Amino acid sequence: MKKYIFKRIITGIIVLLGVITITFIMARVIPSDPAAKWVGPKATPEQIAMAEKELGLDKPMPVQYANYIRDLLKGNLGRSLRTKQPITQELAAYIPATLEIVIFGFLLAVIIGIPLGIYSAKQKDKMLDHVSRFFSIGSVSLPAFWVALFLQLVFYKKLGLLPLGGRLSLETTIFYNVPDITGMLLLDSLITSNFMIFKDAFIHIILPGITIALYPIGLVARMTRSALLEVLNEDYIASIRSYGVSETKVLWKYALKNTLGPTATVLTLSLGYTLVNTFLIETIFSWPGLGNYVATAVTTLDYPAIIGVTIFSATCYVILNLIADLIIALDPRIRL
Amino acid sequence: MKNKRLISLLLVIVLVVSLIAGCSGGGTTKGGGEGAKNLLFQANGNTPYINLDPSVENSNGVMVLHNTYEMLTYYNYETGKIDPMLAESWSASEDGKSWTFKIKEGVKFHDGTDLNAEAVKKSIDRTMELGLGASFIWDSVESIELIDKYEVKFNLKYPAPIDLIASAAYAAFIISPDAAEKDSDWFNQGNGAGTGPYKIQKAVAGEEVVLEKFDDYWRPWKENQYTSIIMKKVPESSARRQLLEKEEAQISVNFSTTDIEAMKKSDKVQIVQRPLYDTVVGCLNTEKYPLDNVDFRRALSYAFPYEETVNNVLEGQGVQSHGLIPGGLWGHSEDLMQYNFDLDKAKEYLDKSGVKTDGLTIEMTISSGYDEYRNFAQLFQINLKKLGINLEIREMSWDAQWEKAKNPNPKDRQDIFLFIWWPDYPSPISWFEGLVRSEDKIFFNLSYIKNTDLDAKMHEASMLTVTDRDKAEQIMIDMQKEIIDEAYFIHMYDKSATYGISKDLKGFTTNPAYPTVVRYFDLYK
Repeated sequence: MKKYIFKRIITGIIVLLGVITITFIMARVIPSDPAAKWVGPKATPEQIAMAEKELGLDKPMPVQYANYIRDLLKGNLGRSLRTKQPITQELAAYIPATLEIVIFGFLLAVIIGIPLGIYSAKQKDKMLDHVSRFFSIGSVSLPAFWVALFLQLVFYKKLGLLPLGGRLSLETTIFYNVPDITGMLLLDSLITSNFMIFKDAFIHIILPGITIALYPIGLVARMTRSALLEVLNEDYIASIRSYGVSETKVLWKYALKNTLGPTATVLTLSLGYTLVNTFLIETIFSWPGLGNYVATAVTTLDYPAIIGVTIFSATCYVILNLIADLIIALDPRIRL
Repeated sequence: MKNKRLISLLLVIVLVVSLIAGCSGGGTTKGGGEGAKNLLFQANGNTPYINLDPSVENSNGVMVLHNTYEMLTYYNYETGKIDPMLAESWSASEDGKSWTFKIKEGVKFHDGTDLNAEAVKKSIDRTMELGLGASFIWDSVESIELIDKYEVKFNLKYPAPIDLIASAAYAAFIISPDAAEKDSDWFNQGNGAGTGPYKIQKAVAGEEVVLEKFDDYWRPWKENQYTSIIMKKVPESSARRQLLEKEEAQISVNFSTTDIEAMKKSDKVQIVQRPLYDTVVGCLNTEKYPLDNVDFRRALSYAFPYEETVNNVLEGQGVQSHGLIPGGLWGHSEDLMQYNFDLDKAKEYLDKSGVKTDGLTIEMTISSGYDEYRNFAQLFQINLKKLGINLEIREMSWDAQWEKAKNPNPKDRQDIFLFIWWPDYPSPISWFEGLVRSEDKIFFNLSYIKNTDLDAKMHEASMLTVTDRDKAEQIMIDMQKEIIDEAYFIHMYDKSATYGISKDLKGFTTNPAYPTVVRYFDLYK
């Protein structure tokens, strides 16, 4: 087991190194003038030449790469060409908002997706099952941006129940001291017992949260349903049933346990998907997260920022994959 | 039992969610409480700032900085004159190489210190020393000398219009002496000290800025002015429109044409067109066949769909250019000749040029991500097709577009480069020095013009800008005549900005010399 984990970590690092190298090379191959970007539009040739030296762009590419890796090992991702701020500092400012929405969506997926799958399996081919399957397929196949716009139209424009976007209302932003401990507003306001802000943050996260959650909810519900149905057809379930054990007990005590492996794997992997999906959703809901940040970085070819976000996303993926593998490995029936 | 518990848990969650959503819905969509009375919300498509250092910012951030800092002078685009701001009066020596400014007394910085000549010197010195952003506007300055507490003298290397330069939208802000000692990081944490009517209360990089009234501002405050301002990034055009329609936001800008049409029908929003100094030109590659032929260039100029672009593509968000200099800026003349769309004339010039069009393909590069550029380029393509010329439209990132334009081999460069130009300070000389002046190493002269006669006139006009502005203006108009006749550019259009503002908002205006800036002090309800 230890050997397996060690092996997985090493491959993870190799993958990350590959991602960094490819992104670095791509950023240099794409025609761009980082020095001109650094000094801003309409800079003079002298200013650009100065910036080139300052950023070390006058050095050969292998040297630049070596410098980049050296800085990276020190936890320094460089400075954004556009804002001139350290990338690590900017990522730290944007990541909590993204994590908050991803975790919110993840919790919804667990709370709604798993029970939905269970009931669907239990009521196989009955009305509830059809409705649930229709919902699951719909939520997986509907494009998230469409859902986002639709929810905005209904809940903001027509009903006026929920805000259009942002993390807090204008009044809260201006007239209240918003706590900043983890950067996740829901958590921070709870820690400081600031329920006014909690309420405000909560109503702001509902629409983007639901949009983000829809895909994993559908996926998890479908996965739970099919895994459960498969288990319920196993011989051991038939023998438990033959002892006269109640159907509820069969389902919850004996069957469900054996479906949790695949469900947890799907759930973990969908978390990675959610992380990327949120990039699009954030723009629509003016959610000040990583997606919003990377969208600007890409359109302005701010390559240190692009590499920074890529490294963060890749790291998340590698870690989540590792966790998914470990969950499978925890199953005593699987030998590594 | 367990599943019952699960159901109850779910029910409770649903109940709590709907309760919270239900009872607070009204509160968030309507401005609540006394404090919100004089609150103004500007929903912005882009980030409200990139850098809050007034010496460095060369982008959107001036929309924040022009409300928190001030300059020595202010360019009044309606009169074409320079108004005093922090300077009370000024004068130049006869040779235009030394300028003296008398500084206003009784003005306070946000940190409580008084404005004086030393603060002015320190601010401009700091901008020049940092050498970032638009600091190059001060290139002519040799030294800044303190005459007395409220008088400062600029000694120049060569004559330059310091009164105009001091009114620039970028890099001309006056900072408190204490703040001038700080670095950019300090400013970007939301700190600062200017003399403007508002102070920064909060700044979140890339997202939002909150401004609050500066009580000791040197001009008196009135009751109905806005005391709290929030500028927030709302990337989606439709979202900005909805905020205006619901009266949550009071000002927003840059909408899709669909949203503009929708807002015209709203009784809560008014659409306001404001002029800009941004001009859109097609730079014609004069070093490459067949565009090295002046008659061929004229043919192209007659084939461009000016009217259709302004009316149908831009939906009125612009006007056809008269030469290089946009309307509202000195140096602009309505008497200059305009090429209009006329395929017969285009054909005539094409024949005159002797260029064979069999299978002739020319390439136009445009910056990617702009629907309007793509749309008028396609209309142009259709027109050229009728002349037997294939227009290949290449959408690329600005960097890729510029890199191609700087290729040492003229044949590997584009034929037409779509370029947007705006001045660094309110002077027409910027267009000539940027787009027309001969360059040893290619930079922004992307028509690759090498015209010594124009270079000489440009130099003369530049010098006269200081001593005899009327004469300078005449020379610039004459230069444009030659530029138009030579058809170095397709003078497409002068841009304008479409604002959506609340119908209750009064005093709204913008000044093209200060792009993206709304001076909130002028607004009231």
